[in-house]
Amino acid sequence: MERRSFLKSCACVAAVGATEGLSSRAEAATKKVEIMRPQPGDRLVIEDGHGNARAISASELVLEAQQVLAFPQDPTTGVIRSGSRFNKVMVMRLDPALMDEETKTHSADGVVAYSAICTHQGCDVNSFVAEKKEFFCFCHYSRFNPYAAGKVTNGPATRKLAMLPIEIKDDLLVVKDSFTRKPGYKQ
Amino acid sequence: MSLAKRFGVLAVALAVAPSAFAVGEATGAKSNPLTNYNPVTEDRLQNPEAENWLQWRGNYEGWTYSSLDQINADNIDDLVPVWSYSTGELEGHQAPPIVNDGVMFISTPNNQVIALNAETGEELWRYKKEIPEELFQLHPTNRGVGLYGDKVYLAATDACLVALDAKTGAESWVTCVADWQDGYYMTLSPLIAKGKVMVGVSGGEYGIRGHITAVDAETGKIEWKTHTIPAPGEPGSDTWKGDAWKTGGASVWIAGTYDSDLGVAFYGTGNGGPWMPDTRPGDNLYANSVVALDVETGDLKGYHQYHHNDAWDWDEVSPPVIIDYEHKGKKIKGLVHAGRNGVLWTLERNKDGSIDFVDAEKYVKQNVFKSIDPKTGRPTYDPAHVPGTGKTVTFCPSLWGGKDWPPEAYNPKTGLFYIPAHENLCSEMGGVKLEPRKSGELYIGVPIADILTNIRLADGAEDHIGEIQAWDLKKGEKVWQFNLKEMNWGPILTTGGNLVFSGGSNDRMFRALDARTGEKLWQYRANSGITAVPSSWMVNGTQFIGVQAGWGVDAQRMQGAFDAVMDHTTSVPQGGVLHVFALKKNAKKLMDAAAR
Ligand code: FES
Repeated sequence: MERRSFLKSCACVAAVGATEGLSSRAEAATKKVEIMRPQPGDRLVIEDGHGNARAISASELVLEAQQVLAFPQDPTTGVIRSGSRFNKVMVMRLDPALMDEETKTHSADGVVAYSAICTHQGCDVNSFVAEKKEFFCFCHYSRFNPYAAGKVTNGPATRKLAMLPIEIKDDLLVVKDSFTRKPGYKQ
Repeated sequence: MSLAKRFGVLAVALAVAPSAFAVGEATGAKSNPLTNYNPVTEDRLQNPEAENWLQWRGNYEGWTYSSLDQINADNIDDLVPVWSYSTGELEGHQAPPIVNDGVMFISTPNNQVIALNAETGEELWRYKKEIPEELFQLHPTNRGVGLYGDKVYLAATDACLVALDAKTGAESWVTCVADWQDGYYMTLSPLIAKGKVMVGVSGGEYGIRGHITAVDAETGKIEWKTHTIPAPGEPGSDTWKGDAWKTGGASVWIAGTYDSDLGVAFYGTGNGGPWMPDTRPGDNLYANSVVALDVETGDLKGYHQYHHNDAWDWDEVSPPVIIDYEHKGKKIKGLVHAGRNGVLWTLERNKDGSIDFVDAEKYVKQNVFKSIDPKTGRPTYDPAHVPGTGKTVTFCPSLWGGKDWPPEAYNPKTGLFYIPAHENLCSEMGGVKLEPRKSGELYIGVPIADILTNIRLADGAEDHIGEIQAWDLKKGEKVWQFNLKEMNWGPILTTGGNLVFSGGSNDRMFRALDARTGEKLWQYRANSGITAVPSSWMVNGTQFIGVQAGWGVDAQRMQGAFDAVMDHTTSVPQGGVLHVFALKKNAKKLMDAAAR
């Protein structure tokens, strides 16, 4: 518990609500940050549904344990970019020895981050089939290989998942680069 | 011309110009049945002509019955495909061809409406509503358009009701009844009465609070909105504790039936949410119920809760079918409902809109209800089959129920009531600790992986699971049953020709049975599995039977669960195609007309 840093999700949004007369342009700007795709330097955090967020530490992730669903958070404003579900990512610790080159490039110390939006029709990819070491989409049973840069192992999806390149700083997961491809199901 | 007048002209121009998504224009004016489009009136909906199919189940009562008998049990061998049409969409096609004097309207997944010449299959126009890319459709389907006046109504998955000009497919207005970002969506066919278009919302899986909304058919203005869960202080609110009512589900994803004498619509409601009963103690009115609403005002006139504090995902969204008949020697104005909870319910509708319990009979294996109170119809539960948070149990029928959404049918000629059922099927399920609700995220409290493998087979499953059952309501007896090896997701059409039409199985078959005996008389193998409502109509003296094929949604999910549990892999290809059939003797004439 002590290892985890608890952050209030969005001091800035609370402030917007509390400050009457704030220009709508400023509000629009805030909203935009919320829906912007992950930016280099963003932290990956878990939202609890009450507006609270917790940064994910690399050391809490257990090898091949069920993926953790996370959103990027702008480190300067504290805004969580959960205004778009296409920003939802799943985070998991893998065995680096089993990774292909592409996966290795975008991972950090065995930890990977993938878009959680199925490339078939956009359901959440929120299950992991441990025996097969594959992500699983419950809508139409597509499966994806996290060791092979999100490659489809079972249809109906035909396109691989987008990866979010990350690095680890002070044990926290930080976005290194933008998604490797457009997240979502439309080309 | 004054500025105001100019804007007036502009507004009219915008209203009639085909929208960006209405593709194609009315063509071939000479043979175009749109030229003299016959507006749909309330009187016509109440007394539909035999040659038309004006609403999703044919009539307000929900019979899914066509009195046409040109195609009948004696000449069914001569039934042949006469034309087909690709919808261009994957996923679950569930809507019937809706036909008004030679013009057909079908809706498909992804919010598409297509108008066709009901005789020749010629495309007249096509409309597709653009929905936000981020909206992910848990149930990408639609169950049919509504017709009224010179408009066509579509309940779209972004929780918006769209009115289209029947002649052009252009949008007349769009009225959103709920926020899709908060998990609300719509897939049902609209019910139209007293100049109001009524729609309900899906989203029980996301922790929504169900409601039914009436919209003025002409203007698109919301007339009333009635929630299916009372707010604190309203009657029935004491059946909820704390804030559970705010996220309690009771969604309404199937069109209601309508008694035009009473001016009352009967809607079925979904299960309470989240799924585990301990997360929302109390009876949870009006979840898992039928509610009777005054169409003029939206006021609740009566209700009957089929089962309280649901624990099994047994949505009771199918509305009761309105049938007046003699039940065990007593004349009743009946409401008949084959429950997802595996019980065939008989209720009585009273003049003031209130509902009385009459009778209940299990029609599939049901091990949850220990007894049903003969006066009130309230069941008592066997705790060994009631799941909860941290309590996994088995129960029958499965979470897909004795009958899911596919409509039953009633044939006044045979006096029989037909149920598409799942027998010999149970579930194993339990809940886990609930995470706080997030807008637009699943809020069930049962792991998805468990839902996908929840199926358990009861004795008898090796023989069959899918059934069509025929019940004599007078005697309260099942008179025949037709078996299908695995699932049955087939809505039923019955006709004056003593026929029952249905698909529903994973072998892609569309079948005709003798409505009196259940004997299989005819079958046709379609491109994909059939889970849509079939319908029948007549143009220029030819009777047609039509159905959309297009496997997907729950049928496909159940197939996945079967494959996981039964250790086989079944391939049912996707892709929507409308198949239309007529008697062989008419086929040449039709093809000649189409070729012209
Ligand atoms: S949306 Fe994931 S498999 Fe279809």
